[in-house]
Amino acid sequence: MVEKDLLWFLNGIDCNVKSVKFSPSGEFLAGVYESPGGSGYSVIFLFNPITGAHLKTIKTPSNGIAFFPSSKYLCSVEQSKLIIWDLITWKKFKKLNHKSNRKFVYGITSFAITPNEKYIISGAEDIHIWDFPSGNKIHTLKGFGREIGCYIISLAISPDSKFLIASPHSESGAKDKDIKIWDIKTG
Amino acid sequence: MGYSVGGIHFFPDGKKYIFHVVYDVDSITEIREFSSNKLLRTLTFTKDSDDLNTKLMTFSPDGKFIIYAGEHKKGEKFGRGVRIRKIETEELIASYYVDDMDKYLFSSLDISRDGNLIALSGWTESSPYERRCLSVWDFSKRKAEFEKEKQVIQEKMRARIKYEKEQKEFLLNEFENQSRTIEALIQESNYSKAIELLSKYRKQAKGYDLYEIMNWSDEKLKACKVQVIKKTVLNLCTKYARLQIIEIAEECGVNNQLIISTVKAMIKNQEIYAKYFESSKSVAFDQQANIEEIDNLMTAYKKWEDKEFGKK
Repeated sequence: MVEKDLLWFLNGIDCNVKSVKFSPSGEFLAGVYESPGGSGYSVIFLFNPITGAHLKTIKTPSNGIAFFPSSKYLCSVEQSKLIIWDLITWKKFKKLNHKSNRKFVYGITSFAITPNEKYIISGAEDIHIWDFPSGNKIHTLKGFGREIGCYIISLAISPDSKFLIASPHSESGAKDKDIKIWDIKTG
Repeated sequence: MGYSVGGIHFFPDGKKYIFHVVYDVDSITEIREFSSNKLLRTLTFTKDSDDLNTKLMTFSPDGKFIIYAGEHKKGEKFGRGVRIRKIETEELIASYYVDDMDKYLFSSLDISRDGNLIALSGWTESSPYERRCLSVWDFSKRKAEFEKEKQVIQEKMRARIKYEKEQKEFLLNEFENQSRTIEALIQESNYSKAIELLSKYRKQAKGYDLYEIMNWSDEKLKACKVQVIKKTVLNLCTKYARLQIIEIAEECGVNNQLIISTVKAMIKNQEIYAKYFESSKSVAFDQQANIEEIDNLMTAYKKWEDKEFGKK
């Protein structure tokens, strides 16, 4: 039976796909593949979104990915590191290390890139704002739940690149849906 | 723990935002005004008994549709898959199913910038079997039906699919011409140009899964590169006593492994007098023997030339 509207699909034997993202240019669909069993081996595959043809493989452990709005760079996350890949030369362009004073439990749990590509924002137990392309950290935002197991699960940036919304996730079961808003420039 | 669980998204105007909070089983989706953080609306479909366990949610870039993955009613039973609703009216527009089993776990969901393609990834917990791990749907048709911009969107999408098809056919049709051009270049010993063309051609073929062309290009590329290496090595063997493989690689721009195998073959066939050392990955040339060999060749060539031209 042909499924309606299905363009293509992939079957995997014992393999997980952790994250999928379309490039804003419509050129790629990126997927993070991981072999199961916690071996941690993972690669990023890039596909033609329409035909499903495999175009490129980036060999790097990764938990999550995001394209830059201009589709020039791809950002991937591994534990507490953000790695930015140049999609023209296919090389590492920048590496950012999200360090925290507190005990790091989950690594980076969410990240976002502003539409004007001036800032990269990474969220874990706190939020760091990085300047791009210099890679300097300009702000550290705190003030989320003090209990361990509370981390930033979602970040969104206003279309004018001025404001940041972040929502925490609490493991302890507290129904904490406090959403906080920051001015990116001033922190 | 996942990246997309509980998404926040801005509407394109930047005045409102929508977000989704997941609790154990149920979830809440709200629209709020950005400046005052006032609650504007709570979406009610997640309270519906047809939509359970909504774990992933994303929103179309134009702010018109909500796309979510979870358990949905499919006839009498529940199936796991993706549903799309219009945010304004919460009207159900499309349902795509991946699996009837309740073992399927979603990991990520995304929509393309033009809002025409939807991708979903996930895995099955009990996985001795081959299972779907990635699906891509064309949402343009159903979107168009609801947007009344039917023709425009559908045509755009059709044009894109057609373009990809045409490209594939074009590449296949061009194969004969291309291969002829490349063969001619190889005949002329214009290897650098041939490599350039082959690499370009192979890249194009890769985008459309044309394995025959890819294999053919790989074979030709290798042959060309071997010729380039031979030329470089012959050129260097009289000038230097000892060279590392990476130095040869720098000179001819080919990867190390191929250089090693080529050099080994050349030594074996006595094309050069040298010895390859595995531990230091270097080649020691018997310079004098090589120079003499070339001198011998040159004299032989001179003799032959005099004879041939003498005849004329």
